[in-house]
Amino acid sequence: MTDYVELHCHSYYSLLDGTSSPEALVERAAALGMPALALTDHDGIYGAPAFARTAREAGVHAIFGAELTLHDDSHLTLLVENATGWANLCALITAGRHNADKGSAKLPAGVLEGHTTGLIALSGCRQGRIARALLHGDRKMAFQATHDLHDLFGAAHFFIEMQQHYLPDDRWLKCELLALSARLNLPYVATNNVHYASREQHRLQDVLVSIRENTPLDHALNLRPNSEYFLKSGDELAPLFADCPEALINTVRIAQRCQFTLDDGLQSLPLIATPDGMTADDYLRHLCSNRNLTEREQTQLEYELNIIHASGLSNYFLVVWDIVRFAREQDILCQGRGSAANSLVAYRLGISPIHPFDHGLVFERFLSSERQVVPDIDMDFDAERREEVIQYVYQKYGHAGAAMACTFVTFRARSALRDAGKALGLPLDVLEHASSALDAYQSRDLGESTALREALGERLDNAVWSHALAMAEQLSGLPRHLGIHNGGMVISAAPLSERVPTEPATMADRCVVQWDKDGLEDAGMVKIDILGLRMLSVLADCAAIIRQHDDPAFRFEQLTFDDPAVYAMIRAADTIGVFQVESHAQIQVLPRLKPAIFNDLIVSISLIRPGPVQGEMVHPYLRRRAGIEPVVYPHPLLEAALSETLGVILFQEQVLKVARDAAGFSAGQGELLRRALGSKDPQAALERFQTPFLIGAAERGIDPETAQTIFDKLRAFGGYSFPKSHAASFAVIVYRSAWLKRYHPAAFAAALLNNQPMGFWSRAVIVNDAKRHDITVQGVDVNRSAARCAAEQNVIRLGLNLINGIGKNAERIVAARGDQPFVDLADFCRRVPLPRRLTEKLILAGGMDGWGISRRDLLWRLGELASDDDNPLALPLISEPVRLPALTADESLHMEAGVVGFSPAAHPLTRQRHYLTQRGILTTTAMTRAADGARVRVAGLLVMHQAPPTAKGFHFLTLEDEFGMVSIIVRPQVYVHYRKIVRHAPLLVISGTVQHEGDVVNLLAKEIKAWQGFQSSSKKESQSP
Amino acid sequence: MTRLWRDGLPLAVWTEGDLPSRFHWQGQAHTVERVTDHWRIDSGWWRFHVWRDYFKLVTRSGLVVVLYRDLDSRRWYVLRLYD
Repeated sequence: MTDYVELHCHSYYSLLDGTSSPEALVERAAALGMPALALTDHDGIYGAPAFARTAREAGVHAIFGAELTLHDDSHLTLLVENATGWANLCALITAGRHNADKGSAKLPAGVLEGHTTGLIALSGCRQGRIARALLHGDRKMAFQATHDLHDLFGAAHFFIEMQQHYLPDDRWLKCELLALSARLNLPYVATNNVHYASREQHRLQDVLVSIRENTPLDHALNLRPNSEYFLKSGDELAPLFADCPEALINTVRIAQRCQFTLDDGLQSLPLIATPDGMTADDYLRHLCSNRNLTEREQTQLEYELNIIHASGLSNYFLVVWDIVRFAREQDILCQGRGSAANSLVAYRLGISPIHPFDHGLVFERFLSSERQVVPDIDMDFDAERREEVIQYVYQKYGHAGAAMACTFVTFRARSALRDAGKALGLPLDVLEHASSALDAYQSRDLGESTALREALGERLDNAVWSHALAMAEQLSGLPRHLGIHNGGMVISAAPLSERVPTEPATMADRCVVQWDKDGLEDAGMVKIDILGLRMLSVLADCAAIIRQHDDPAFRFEQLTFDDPAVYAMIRAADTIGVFQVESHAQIQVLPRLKPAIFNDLIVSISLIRPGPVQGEMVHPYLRRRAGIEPVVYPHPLLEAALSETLGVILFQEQVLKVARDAAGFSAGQGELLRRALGSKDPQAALERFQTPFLIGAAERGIDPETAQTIFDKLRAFGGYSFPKSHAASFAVIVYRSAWLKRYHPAAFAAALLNNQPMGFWSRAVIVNDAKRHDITVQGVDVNRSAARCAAEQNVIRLGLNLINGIGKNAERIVAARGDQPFVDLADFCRRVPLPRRLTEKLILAGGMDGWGISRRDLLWRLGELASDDDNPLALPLISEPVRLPALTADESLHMEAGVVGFSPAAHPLTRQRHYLTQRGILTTTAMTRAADGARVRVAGLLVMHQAPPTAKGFHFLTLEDEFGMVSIIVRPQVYVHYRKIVRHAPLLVISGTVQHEGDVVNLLAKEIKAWQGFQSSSKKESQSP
Repeated sequence: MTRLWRDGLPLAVWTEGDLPSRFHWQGQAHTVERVTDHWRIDSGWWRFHVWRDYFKLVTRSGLVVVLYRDLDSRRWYVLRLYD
């Protein structure tokens, strides 16, 4: 076997160029028996952490590097020998990235000098300066380039790179390069410029090039001429370098010199100013202890502070504390989410809203001496004001010390099919049609998709479509371009770019690091997630309204979590708009769950989620809660851990407790077990826990069979378990939003409308729900509306912001209006010049009804005014007053709905009710009062349609009429017949059987028809359903 | 002068390892003296897959020929003959 190490290799992080994950490349190298492998993506080290981790696990030595693009667009391969080399590489990549448009790189001339220590340079592929010059017939330039690079890097750090891919002039090029090396007495090395792990993937690489060039394969210019750019073994390459075997031997020599490993651990964190020269540890203790502590709290604090100190994280907590302090000073609502709630320190610092003792939370879920992972603190901020917080961080730590984590936008099923199809030359409109037939997340077995077959028919079987589907499947999951992570910020005392390169982000003045959150975690760096939560904006808006009209001193902190009226509202599933508990699934379960205390909200959030074992957990829990089924524990020792959830394993914290109580696992070990349960391949990861678990259980007197049953239960449910800490933090917001809905429903609805899009329901549903709660909803009015929706007592005045596309003009209108209402259309147009389209929308939405002129007349007048403006020199138009027919109520409704999404005046069905009742079609309220098993018909607007992947083909619809909403269950065999109607008709009449389950009433659909509705009496009656 | 068979003219070729060593053409046997160049293409898979090894060679009798082997069917063809 010929020894060889691949030193020039691209993963899919060479975006739209490489096809394989770093993991796949390592796997292939290991299979070939290659002792080491280099990863050299274009101007980036995105894959380095995953590469390092996989290589370590596979016993392959990882070599880090990159292929740089220089100022003259030539390429240079760089490999890292040591830590200095790594810092230099990061600096070079950063410089190159900041010197070009987003997505490109170009190292400015002169920068290479001074950044070469610790790096080994290879002269590059055909786009390397030397090869490029030779291919242009310029031997002189080639010689000069070689000389220059040799000078820059020094004799021991520069190699002439040769590649042989069976191209017609490859042999000739090799001869020229060998001649050069002989002349200058330079060493040479062989590489294969790998772009895919195995030969077959060259097709995918062709498709990527086609996408990159935005040109179909038939016309793409830069396709590689053959499929030789895969990871090859020394034996495969030996014949190609038979005349210069040293080229292969040198790869091994270079590999041995590159000894840099990536895991540096925590970055150096900035020091927060501490008073009186206190250390960070002391200051942290001081901040946590500024109120009376119980003995138990003191003990816990000491315990946590010791672990924090031992992990070197005191500064991290202070950094987060400082950010929260800033937000609170600026009155920006914020709270920690996720596992931080497990920490008493986090609670005392004001980071988490939850006292861990109140909910039996376990610190080790967040941080422990056994857990080898850095903790993450995620903070939710008022979405509208999140940017202020981010700017504060940039200001405080500078752009060298703060950057955002990156994220990769990947190809998904639909975009993959579209792009693959375009590459293959398929027509765009057919591709649109086909890709919209796909489920957004389906990326396997596209050929089996019935929806696709319906969309395409027999075309699906022809060769081009087969290729398109095959390529789409391979494309799915590949990174396409860089996005910005939703708020993950990395903060460092030393310049970040010494550790990881940064590049400009789409937003000006923002930088991202080249690692995403997984990469940062692998590299041992800590970050803070600064997330925007729109519900916090809703809470803030609502609080402002309350302070303005009701209680100037209102603060959320004054609420206690025990108002029975709030829980009664939640039990009745009257939760449209309430955080986390408004979804269709929640509405179905809440009346059965019957939450009565804060802890029940935590259970509700954790329990009602999609998932494969949902059926096996939700139903037993609900039955036990209703007393239908007895509460049993696999063993009495588990009662302490599972009594709060009636014997069901629901929370991640319970996994730790079960492991502790049944098998004596320490909290840290329990957390490792929990992570293994949630990993991608739980079977493999669990193996090392099974034996210690069974032994520990035996020591506690649990018989082997029971112990195995407990372990199996952990295996089945542990992966689905939900972090109680996260649910607890969220439950705080659930309660507060529910309280607002209960006591300030108009303000709450207005705030919801102002912060769309968010939540589960559309604006229309929110408005109709408000009206059913006896709130008056007043329409958009140019003389009365504010820029945003406003509320006072039980009245909402819709804001100008509801007009689609109005943007900043909303404020302009209010400013122009000042104290002088607009008297007529001409006055309005004169004082607020707007694009005609927008003024039209205002008219259609009823915003100008206040002048008592019909909307049709206003539109006509607008036309006249517009033409006056267009041509100031024209003779005045002598127009006969035109008599336009008045708008019917239906037409008004229709117009408003077209512009605003709904009509505040009436529900579309209100005017139809008479006809519907005549035909025996029930209202939603009447339907819910019908007996179990009754056959009924009900009509409504389709406001929700869900088909969760775990529901086995069942579809769930929600119909809304002027009285309320009902849930419809559609079995797969029924859905098949009415698919088109459900997808396209907004108003439906559904007949079926009423189903009662406790307090929840559904309709099991049998037949679905579109409701044509009746026009006003001037038109013929349309066909009745 | 060269003769070109754009669609390739099939012929029988014997190999040593992966390289052509002898071939039969126009009723005569020719021994390969030297392979001067060898290149490979793999393209057009989405329409008409062309995956071929090309060999430019000189025979003992002084003929300069370009042969290719279709890597799917493993069949040999002559592409070009230089007089």
